[in-house]
Amino acid sequence: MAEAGSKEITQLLLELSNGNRAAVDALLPLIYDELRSLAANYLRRERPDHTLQPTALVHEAYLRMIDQTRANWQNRAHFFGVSAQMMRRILVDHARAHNAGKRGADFQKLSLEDNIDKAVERSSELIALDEALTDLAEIDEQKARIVELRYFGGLSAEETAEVLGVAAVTVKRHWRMARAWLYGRMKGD
Amino acid sequence: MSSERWRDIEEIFQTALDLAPSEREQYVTKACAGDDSLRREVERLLTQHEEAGDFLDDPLYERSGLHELANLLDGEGDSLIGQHLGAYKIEREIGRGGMGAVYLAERADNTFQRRVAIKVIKRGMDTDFVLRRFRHERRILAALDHPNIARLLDGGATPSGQPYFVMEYIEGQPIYAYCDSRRLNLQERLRLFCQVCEAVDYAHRKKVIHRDIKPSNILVTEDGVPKLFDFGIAKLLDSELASDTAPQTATSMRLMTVDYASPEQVQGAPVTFLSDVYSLGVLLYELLTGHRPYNFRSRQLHEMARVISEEEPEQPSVAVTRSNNLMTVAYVSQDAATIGHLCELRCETPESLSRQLAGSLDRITLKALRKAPEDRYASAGELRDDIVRYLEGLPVVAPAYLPPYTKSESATTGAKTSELSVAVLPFKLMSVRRDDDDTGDEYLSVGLADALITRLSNVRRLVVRPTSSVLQYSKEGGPFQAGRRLGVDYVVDGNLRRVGDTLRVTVQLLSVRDEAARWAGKFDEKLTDVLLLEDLISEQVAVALIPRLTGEEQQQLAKRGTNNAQAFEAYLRGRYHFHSLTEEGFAKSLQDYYRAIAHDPDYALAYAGIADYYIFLGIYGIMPFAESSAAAKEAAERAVALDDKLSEGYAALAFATVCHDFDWIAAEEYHLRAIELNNNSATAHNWYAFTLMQEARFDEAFREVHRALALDPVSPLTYMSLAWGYYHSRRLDEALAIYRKVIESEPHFGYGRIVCSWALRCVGLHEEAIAQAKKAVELAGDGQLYLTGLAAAHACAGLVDEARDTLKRLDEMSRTRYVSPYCLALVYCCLNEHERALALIEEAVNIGDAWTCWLPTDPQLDPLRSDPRFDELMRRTGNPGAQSIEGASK
Repeated sequence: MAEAGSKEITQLLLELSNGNRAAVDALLPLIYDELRSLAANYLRRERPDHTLQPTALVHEAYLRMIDQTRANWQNRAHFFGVSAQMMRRILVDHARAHNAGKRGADFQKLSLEDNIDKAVERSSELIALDEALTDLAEIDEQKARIVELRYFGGLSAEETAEVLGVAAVTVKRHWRMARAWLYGRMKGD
Repeated sequence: MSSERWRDIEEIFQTALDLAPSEREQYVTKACAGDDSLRREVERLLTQHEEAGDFLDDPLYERSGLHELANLLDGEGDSLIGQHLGAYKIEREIGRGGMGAVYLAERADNTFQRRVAIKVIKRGMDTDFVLRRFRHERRILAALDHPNIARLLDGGATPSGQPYFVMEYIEGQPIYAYCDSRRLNLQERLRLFCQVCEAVDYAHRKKVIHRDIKPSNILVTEDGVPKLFDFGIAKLLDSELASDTAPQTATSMRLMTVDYASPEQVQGAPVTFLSDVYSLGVLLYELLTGHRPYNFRSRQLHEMARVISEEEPEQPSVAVTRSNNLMTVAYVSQDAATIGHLCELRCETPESLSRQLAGSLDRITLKALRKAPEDRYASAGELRDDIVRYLEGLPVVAPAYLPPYTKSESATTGAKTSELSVAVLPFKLMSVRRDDDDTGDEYLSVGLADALITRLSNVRRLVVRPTSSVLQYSKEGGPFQAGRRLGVDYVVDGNLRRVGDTLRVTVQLLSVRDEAARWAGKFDEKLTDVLLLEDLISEQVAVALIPRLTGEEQQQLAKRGTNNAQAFEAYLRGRYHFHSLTEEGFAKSLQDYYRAIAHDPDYALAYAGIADYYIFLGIYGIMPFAESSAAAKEAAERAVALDDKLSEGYAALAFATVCHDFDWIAAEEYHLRAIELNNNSATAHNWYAFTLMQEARFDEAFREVHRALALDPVSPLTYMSLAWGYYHSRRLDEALAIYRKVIESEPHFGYGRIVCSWALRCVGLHEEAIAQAKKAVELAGDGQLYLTGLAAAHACAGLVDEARDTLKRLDEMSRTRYVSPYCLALVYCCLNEHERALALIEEAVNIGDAWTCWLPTDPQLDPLRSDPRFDELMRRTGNPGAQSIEGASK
């Protein structure tokens, strides 16, 4: 984090919540750094039977990175929203990198093995979902947001409702429509 | 798709889903009203809804553990297990550390199967660089052929581009686990350790530094052979280490386990073979004692680096008797370790363990851990040889343990009587019972501490931090943290609880360096006997610090200000309010002091308190100096008349004598008397410094300020004095540097900002001067000191209209409140109205405005100095500095 001070990071995080996607690119390397050190820390410290949710980890990373004097902590939507976005970006980026690697020379040989196949499949699915979700956001942003919060952010319908300031039943209705639409999109029709 | 269209689809879709499945088709047909494409869209969505099953219902990573994320972040989202790396097939993961994961792998293309360990370095490294270095170093590393070193066999990059190293696979336990699970005694542990030293020594002779020796890098086989891993790997991974002389940076430290890093490593100094010797020392310390050599208050890198560089580990024989810094014995059980448990694992009792460690083993361990590399054993081999001598019953070469010189050591050993520094923290209230008074019992918290501070500071050999500083630094963190911030050797920390009429106080005297209690006591006294309580506590604390108090010291210590409990209580409340340093708090403190005096008319300290009150009112511009100094003088005279041994009284008297009588000779005498009575009073030195500055005796003034700073290193007020001295001696840049620092740490300190704006004006930083003055007015209100400062700032910047506006305000104000002609003169100086300025200064001299004490030195008055009338005015103040100032005003 040497190159970006906490002030700068906060600014980026705030821009992120204001819809500036370029901010994600600037933030990602920093987030990775922070997450790695956090994860390594937990792994050293925690007992083996104790597992920590990755989403909680992302939350903590966010808390550590943001300049708390500037962030408005009443704004839970911002916090969870950014965390979910971070999670989505990290996972999708990874999937992309993974797939790109598999297109190399030893792809043939490696793909003969079952577990690799599965992994590739899962990565591709994730990338497809990411793309479908981006399309959905163009048609109905709120639905895309709900999917992001629930699927990538790990929030329940009730938590999502609280974050967005709507009724849980509204979230559930948006969810079933979004899910049906995404499912169709990914199936390829 | 248009958003209208989407809304239509959604409405029908949602309504349909709310219906029973049998009714849906009919509804959809009806709702789409002949729009076939709409109907198709809705029907398709409904079908997809049915088909989707639990699609997306489970959050992506909700159920998976942390390992999966860690893998992902390391770029190993899909495990390497089953994959081939070079000629090896990965079997399973056998470990994970800061650098990455370690796998067990087998050589697949061979008839005889060979097991290896493969360490895959996590993402974030420059793979090309690592591999280039690896090729370069490979020959050297592969040549490390020693029974106690795990061989490095090969290296390469994984398909996803991460570097990996292939090493000899060792089946064994990490060294601590091995020792603990087999309950090895000290001799057995030492022999094992000697083998580790031999391996390190061997590598050193082959010119390879390990750089990252730690217990997890040492496995012990079933046969009891220790094997060291990762020789030279740290260097391969760090581009900054390509040259051995390049400093190690924070980035590279991140990869390492800081607990075992040497001072030079954490400081970024070049790493040598002796750094490995140090890490071996940490290993030896832990192996023997089961304690960590350092107590890290946080795992922040900079804090760890500070501790490693500055703090001395305790002697192992002493450490084993303490229950802090225990290592957990994770390999044996999950329970937190206890001393008993650690000793049991070494087949010893706490006493026998301590006895065995005392002497040679203490010396050997601490010699390996010396901060300066040249003080350590010159090689791992020498360390080993000394241990062998110990095992053979021969004298060791490590010198006797000599603790580094500290003030506290010398005093407790009864050597030279140098000063001990102490901070008395406010007592923590255990039950807050609000009584009729608005301070409840809180006044006791600060008041009792303040009383002890006064008491203890009577003892010459003790340097006691003033209450103002203590209050500032005790708000957060524990007592040791407060002690460190206050820069003291000892902290007095306690609780008090009021039960009915009884006050129960528990007090501890804590050594900051050792983080241990020196003495603890418990007192139950009637509230009416709070004086007795103060007697007991101050005496016992003093005796714990200085075992042999002189008769005079005992007398000074036993000196009570009053024997009247009610007067004392009122005084305590007054001190409590005074230390709020707010106008309201000042006002309340005055009432309390008067109440104290009502109970005990001979209470000298209460009068000194009143004198302080008036002095501060004058300094902060709350009251005109002429009035405040008159009142201060009266109270201070009364205080010293009642008690001619009262340093506080003389300090206040000296200050008031200058401000009120311009009697420079008498003031000097009082100042010196105050210092003589208590050389450890920061206030006494500080007030003296002020007078010296007024007389342009800057060398002496700075000596006094520095003495005050040494006694009270954290007080912003003392720093202000230093800056004030720089300002008057024309060292404006230095003055500004301090003002800026004080403002940074005390942003609400209006007084600091206004005097800062004076200095800013003098160096021509007009915009900043205006900004600071404005902020000061905002913070401190429209007192004349602040408004004149603002007007002058505007005037100097050429903003004459603004300056005149403010002057108008001041003019109106002067009808109801005091406006110092001196401060007005400063404004007119800036407006280049020198005649007016001189007239105002004459008026100030006529009415005895204390600001005129600064005539000889104030840089703002320089434009007037060529006028002979100015010299005459200076002379009228009787200031001995008036003659000598010609030089200073240049």
